[in-house]
Amino acid sequence: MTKTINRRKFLSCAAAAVAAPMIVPASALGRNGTVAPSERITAAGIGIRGRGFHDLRWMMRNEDVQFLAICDIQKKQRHAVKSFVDEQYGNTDCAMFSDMRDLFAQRDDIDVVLIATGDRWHAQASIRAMRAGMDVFTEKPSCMTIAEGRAVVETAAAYGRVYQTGTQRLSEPNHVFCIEMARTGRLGEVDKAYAHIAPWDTAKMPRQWKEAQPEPPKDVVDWDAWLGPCPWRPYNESYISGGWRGDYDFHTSCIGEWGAHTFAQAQMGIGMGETSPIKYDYVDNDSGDGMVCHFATGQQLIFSRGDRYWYGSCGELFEGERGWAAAADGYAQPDVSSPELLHEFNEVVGEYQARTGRSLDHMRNFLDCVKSRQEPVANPRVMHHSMCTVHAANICMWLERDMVFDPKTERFVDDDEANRLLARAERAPWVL
Amino acid sequence: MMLKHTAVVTVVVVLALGSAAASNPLAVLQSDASLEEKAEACRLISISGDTDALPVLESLLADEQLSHMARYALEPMPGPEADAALRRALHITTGTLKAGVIASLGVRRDAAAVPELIALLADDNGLVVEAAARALGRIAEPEGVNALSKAIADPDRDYAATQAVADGLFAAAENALANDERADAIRSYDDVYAIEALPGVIRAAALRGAILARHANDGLPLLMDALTGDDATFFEAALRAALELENRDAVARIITDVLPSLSADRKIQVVRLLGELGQDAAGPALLREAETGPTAVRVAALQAAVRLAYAPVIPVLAQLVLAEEANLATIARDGLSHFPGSEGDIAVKNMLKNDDAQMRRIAVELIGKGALPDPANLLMQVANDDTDEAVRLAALRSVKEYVGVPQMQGLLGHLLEARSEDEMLAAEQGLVLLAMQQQDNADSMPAEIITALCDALNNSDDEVQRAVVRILAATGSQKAFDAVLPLTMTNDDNLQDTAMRAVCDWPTPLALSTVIAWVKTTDSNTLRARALRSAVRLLALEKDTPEALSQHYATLLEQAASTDEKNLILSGLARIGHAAALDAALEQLDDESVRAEAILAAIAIAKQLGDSPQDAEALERAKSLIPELRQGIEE
Repeated sequence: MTKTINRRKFLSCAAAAVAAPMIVPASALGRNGTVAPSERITAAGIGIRGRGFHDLRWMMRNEDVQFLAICDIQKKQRHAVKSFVDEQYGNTDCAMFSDMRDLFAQRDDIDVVLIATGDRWHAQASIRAMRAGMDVFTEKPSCMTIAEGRAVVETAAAYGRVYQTGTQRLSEPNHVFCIEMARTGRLGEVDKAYAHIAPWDTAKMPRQWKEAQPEPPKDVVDWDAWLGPCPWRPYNESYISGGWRGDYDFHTSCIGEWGAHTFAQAQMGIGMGETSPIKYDYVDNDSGDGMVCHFATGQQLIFSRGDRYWYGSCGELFEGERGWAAAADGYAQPDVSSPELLHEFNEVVGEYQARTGRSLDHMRNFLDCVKSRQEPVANPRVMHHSMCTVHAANICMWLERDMVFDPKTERFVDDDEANRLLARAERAPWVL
Repeated sequence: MMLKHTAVVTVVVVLALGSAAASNPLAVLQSDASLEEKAEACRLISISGDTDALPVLESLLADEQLSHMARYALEPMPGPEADAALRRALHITTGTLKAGVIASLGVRRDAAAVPELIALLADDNGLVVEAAARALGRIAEPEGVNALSKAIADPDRDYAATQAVADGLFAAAENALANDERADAIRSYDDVYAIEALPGVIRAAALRGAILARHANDGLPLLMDALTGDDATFFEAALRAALELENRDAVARIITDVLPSLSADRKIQVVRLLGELGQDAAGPALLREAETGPTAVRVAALQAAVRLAYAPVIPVLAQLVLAEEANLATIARDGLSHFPGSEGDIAVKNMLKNDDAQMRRIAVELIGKGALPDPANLLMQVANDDTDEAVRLAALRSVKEYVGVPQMQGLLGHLLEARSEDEMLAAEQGLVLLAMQQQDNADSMPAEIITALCDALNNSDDEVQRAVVRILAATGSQKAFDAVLPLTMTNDDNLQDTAMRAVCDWPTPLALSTVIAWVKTTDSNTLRARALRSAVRLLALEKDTPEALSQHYATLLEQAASTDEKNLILSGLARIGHAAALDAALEQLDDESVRAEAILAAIAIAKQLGDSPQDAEALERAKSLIPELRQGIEE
């Protein structure tokens, strides 16, 4: 036995109690704005670039976070993150790892891990981190298959970990308002929710290999680790520069790209955040635009690719018998069927905070929960049930027929071919 | 027939590779086809292949390059034949490939593999051991679970193997629970929890499982031990487990009993847990913690009590809104603002009746932040009737977010008869917001709004009159414009300046012809510059023919007095895909100071041109003058 100690230190919760959910001066986190060591959340990152840097800055803006280590299969990225972190702290302490297994095994001083790899690694890395006793903030889409999503749920529960997926709109006031307007019946009975899917890429994804290029030394780019559990294919530099998007092996299609956000938003609003649709109507196009998903209650989730229902990205719209409400990126305020509905904005958003105790800052909500051990808004179940919708819709598009799904067994009804797509065999050694 | 649904295969093939794999994937696997084609053949088989594919797939399980793809096809294939093929592969694979085969057996829950998997717990290869342990847990046959129970106690295993064995036991326990075999589940969890040498993370997970497997009543003693014991990891595990237990009322009651004995740090966590559990039974205990003690605990208790909608905490909240400690005051105000149900509303309304003006002012602020539904009329009433000026002003400021047509006359009254500059400003802000609300529906704007404002314009002077001008401008309506425009020629310099600014800021294209005329005729450089910027802004909103819009831009370009102004105009011109716009841009090429912006505009216009001969001719002219243009279009 190489380790016989408690992996995690005890986080004092005094800060958590005053930092959320309501507004409290930052000085409350510690004397003169500093944070006592016992109240600090120690963090590591995996696969930080573009969006990951946004998350990293967001996380490090919280004074109770101390970022200690970066893991990346690319040497260039490891050093880029280390330089950034060291510059922020004015030291040279940020440790570098090329293999996440080493990070998890060696750093039992890490409380949370920020995962911003490509989609193929989100669930695998999350599960490995949680098994090691770390809490997880991961970018989305958070799983490649329905089986992977279920494994995230079960691992988080088994190890009592706090897990938040990066569907940050669930914490943004405009979206919270729309979701709560629908959820609380202020719009009347809401029979239909519309959710935005990405206006690029297709649901029917190609998987041709790119031209083989000489594989860099493992220390420069660990190609096998980049592929992880996915089928092997030869190295091509464009993959590690984002060229994996839109490929069947690595991506969850235009439906998952934005649906990972918007389905969660829509499902939460119509009270379907803890389940998924039972029927998917195939649409004869490349993207799934217009697909109608039916819940057991009779409510519908309808995918929309264009700007018919909103004028920003990642929008959702709830259509109720007494009006409608919508939000998307770039909105100064929610879009509503009647201006009077906006008079309820402060009340609705305030009541949400009072009822849930959650911050309206998605990262802060996660960090608060790391201290309090409560569940954040985008917890594993919320992630999994919205991603079930993503994956089932993708399978519906791939097999070009209507699908019936049982949310309890998480299997398709009387459709063996569809059920064969619930999971993908993991490539060793990256088996869970 | 191996492929049951050719239609499905066709779909997938269209997405994927060549036709060879599609038409006969088995033949591809047995041919000299490329690795990519063979991988694709395995994918196709994974969806609809049957036992016909087994011999070929089995032969690939020991193939370094194709073992994974063979598993990819085999793992989801129904039937015991695929299990048998994978089991046989245990004898011809080693190391990483073997670990993969074991993982597939685990996913398939092949009970027949258990004896061999048990033996592999002693394999020299760590990956194999880990895979075997997790597979045994997934399969959850008693023989395999017993082997895992023995393995977890082996002090010589490394951390990764120990973790895998624990994972296996946890999976087996969850399977037992799903099959209503609670005793088996408890035994598995207890086996892990009992080994003190194991890492805390693993033991904490076992503790959580042991508590939940016992259900609420039998699990509570374990839960309480963890909540009151010394081990921080177990304490955290208990916090999570408490949320998962079914009988939340019983959980909340027993936790409430031990709350007073906990340290302040733990008290905060447990208080928050009680808030999350949402059980009324915790209310009295939370109230006690909210009333006295360390501030951090009181804050947490107040928040939790609000989450519970525990009404007896409302007087405490009301008392604390003026607390000297900022944390307490903030939490109290927020809690009171959004206390679930009507009790909070009543408390806030009662605060409005308080003799203390400061208390009334805070109540108004809370109402402004959403403490009450539909508060506009109430706030207007306070703004009219309260005896304290600061309270009245706070109400007037707060109402603006809720203002609607019914409040217009009241706001107008405050504007026309303002007792202070602050009151006038607050009333103006409210009316501007009201006007802006109606702007999108300018055609259907209630006539009484404009009429009342026009009347106010005629019956006021000085500051008030100028404020009304700004409010009228915010409506964007024709009638308002007709009322404001004459004031641009008044002898009152201040009023004239306000009116001219209002016209230049007009939100709709109604003002376009006026501001263009000012650009051409005014002697004032200030007004000309302001009008020119306004014209560019309004041209973007104007719905007119491209020729007419281009002509307006050309006129503005002639009048522009600086490089910045020309660049601004060119940026607007760039939005028009018409030959006349392109010609207007080309005319600026000789001006070196704006040539770069003119080229960008020309490229943007060129991209939007249609197929008309006029457009084609303009494009050719542009290409002859701008070498970069062809490249620009291609980009």
